[in-house]
Amino acid sequence: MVQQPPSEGATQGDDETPPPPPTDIDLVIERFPGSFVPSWRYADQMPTVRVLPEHIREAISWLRHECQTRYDMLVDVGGSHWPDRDEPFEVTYILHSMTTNARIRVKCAVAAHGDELPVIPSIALIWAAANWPEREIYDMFGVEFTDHPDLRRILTPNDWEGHPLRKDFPLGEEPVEFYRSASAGA
Amino acid sequence: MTVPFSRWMRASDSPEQPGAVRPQALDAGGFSGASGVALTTVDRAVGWARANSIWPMLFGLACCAIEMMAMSAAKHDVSRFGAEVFRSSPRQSDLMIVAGRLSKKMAPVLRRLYDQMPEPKWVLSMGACASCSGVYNNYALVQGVDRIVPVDVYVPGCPPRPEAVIDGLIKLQAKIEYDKQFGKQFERAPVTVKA
Amino acid sequence: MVMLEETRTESGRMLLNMGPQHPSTHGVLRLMLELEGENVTQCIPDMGYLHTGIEKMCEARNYHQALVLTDRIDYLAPITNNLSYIMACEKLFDVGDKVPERAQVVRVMLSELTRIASHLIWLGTHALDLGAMTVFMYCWREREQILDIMENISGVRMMTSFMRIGGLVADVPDDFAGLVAEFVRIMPRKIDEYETLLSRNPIFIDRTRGVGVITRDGALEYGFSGSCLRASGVEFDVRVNLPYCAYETYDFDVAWSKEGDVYARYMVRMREMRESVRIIDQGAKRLLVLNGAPIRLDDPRITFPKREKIHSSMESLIHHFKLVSEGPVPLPGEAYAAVESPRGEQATYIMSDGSNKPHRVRFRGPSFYNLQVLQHTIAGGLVADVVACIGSIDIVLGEIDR
Repeated sequence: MVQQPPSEGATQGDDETPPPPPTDIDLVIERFPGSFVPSWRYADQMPTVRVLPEHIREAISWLRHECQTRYDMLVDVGGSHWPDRDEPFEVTYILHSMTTNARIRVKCAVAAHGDELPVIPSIALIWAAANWPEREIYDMFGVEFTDHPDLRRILTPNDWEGHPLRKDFPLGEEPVEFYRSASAGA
Repeated sequence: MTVPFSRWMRASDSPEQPGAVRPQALDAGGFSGASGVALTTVDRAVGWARANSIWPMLFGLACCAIEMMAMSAAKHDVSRFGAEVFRSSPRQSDLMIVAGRLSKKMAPVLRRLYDQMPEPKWVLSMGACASCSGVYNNYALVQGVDRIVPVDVYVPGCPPRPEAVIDGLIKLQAKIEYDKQFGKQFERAPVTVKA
Repeated sequence: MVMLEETRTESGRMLLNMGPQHPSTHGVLRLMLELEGENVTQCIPDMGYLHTGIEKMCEARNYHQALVLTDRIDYLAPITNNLSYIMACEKLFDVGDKVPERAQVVRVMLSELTRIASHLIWLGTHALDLGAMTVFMYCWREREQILDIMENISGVRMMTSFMRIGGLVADVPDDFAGLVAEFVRIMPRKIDEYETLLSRNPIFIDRTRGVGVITRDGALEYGFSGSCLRASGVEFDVRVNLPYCAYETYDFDVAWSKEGDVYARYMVRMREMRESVRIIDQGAKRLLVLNGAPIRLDDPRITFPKREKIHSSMESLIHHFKLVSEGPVPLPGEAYAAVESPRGEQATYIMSDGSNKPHRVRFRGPSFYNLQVLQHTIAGGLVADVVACIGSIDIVLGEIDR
């Protein structure tokens, strides 16, 4: 269930059997210090790596332009909020390679200090497809993207307060009135 | 000038319910079709004309808008009921079909559109989302468009079939026809269509 | 609502507000245009007028209940929404490869029927925007036939919610095969009919050819998918490149084109409809062979016990009650599942924390990414081309705003 950290496989390459060629995950871990494979169940078998926020822009750029598998399509950028974790705000990037049909998932997590918004470098300048999804994450989770060309709310009204997809934001259900007597006139 | 007799029948058949508009008695001013002589009040004639020439506003919000298009398209053909002239401008229309879920961001726009429509005007709340926000009881939606605009007919369904919307339209026509046309505020009592 | 305070800029350009109530924005999209005469110099889209909070809503429902909410994301293709959500759930429950074959075949057939139904709406409204009324009426005639099939299997015309984790909610009725065969018989000729109205129509060609060109690089830069991407010269289709529901065993071609303009997107979608008819035909033949085969996985963690068992056995009754009231509970983990919806790659990304409700559900709406390029495409063009561009990208605001 839980994926093994592949860093062992990446470094132990001097045994008698020829080592398997390093995967893109290994190369990312080698290239960007602090990256690792989270010990978490990825039921869709998509290779996943977590990168430090300060490296995310270089990592995405490297995967797109220099990596052996050119990941030339940004499929999705999404956020999530895990209040119990040390770094509760997580942004997930999914990349696709048109030549090999491979996919890779890059994750990036940050903590919020006090009332300030958590900050992640934006990749919208190096990949235009990330523009609106990052605005959506800003709107829904309150994650601030530095150097974003146009960081505004996108789905909620401009004067909206709060970030709806955070776990501490209430769903806002209203009690349903199933029956109202016509004579009561309420 | 002939009037389909079924129109009178349908109106007088309307179910007894609180708030439903009761037709006035036929002798208060009706047509005698057999002799070819028309006797009526101006009020009734205007009501008849208004009811049979509803111009809905071309205004779709979500899924229900697709069924609203189905209503106006080939198979269900709403022009049989004189309501096919969908107008894009609120200033030329007299029926607002609220077709779909109304978000809080859209609510001021909807009210503005309603205010731009000339009197007399009517509102048909189409679908569960417009009537009571349906399955989406949450922060983002207005829980029923009747909090924003006065609604004349509620049509339930998710989305309602085109036939149900046409039924709602016929109910609205009956309401328009028997409303007092001059000299008083328009009644806004709601009519509910059975699913 | 942000209002445009001025109607003119200092340089004399006109500021025009288009939408959210506009017949050609296909929903409640709002565009703020800056015009210099007939030319659009700048365009700022504004969305969120249909923000429904579906993702938040899913977090408050269990895995079975959240299915109903997914129908209404992309309301022109409810089946493919269901399918991507259900596939993500199946991956999360580790039953993705155990779904019975008959269920897979029905899923493919319904997906393709939905694709045709959605493309018919696109074609009708797109042609209507460009001034051709007849096509709209013709398209609805065939769409009603598809909706009749949907009603026949589920009782609802649009929001069927027909999929379940591990299969389908019920088997298709006996007359399903006849209705589908009739549809497959007439549809190719009807597509010819639409093409005679538009493909060589000089007005249509003048308004579409060379308009709203999106290059291959631009398409990849902006995260395009679906017909728009294929019209820009990238042969990418989730059904072929990342097959699901045994799509790799069907014989069909991926329609694509190099030009990347509005006309290319029109031609790609028309060819796609023909290919969909072929897939439905193959599915119908497979369904005949699989008559009486199971349509749902028998896994006590997920699927309900049979009705007769509920009536006769206490354990089954308790099991049913538990599944209905509490819902299935997956292991903690994440799963991403993508399908080819009529608009592109529609995907669901579910994160579970091991409780009976999803921790986070994200829907990747293809329109959301496809629409991003609009402001760059129509800037520099004519006002009249704006509606052609919006129509050809085939947006559904439901999945943009969710």
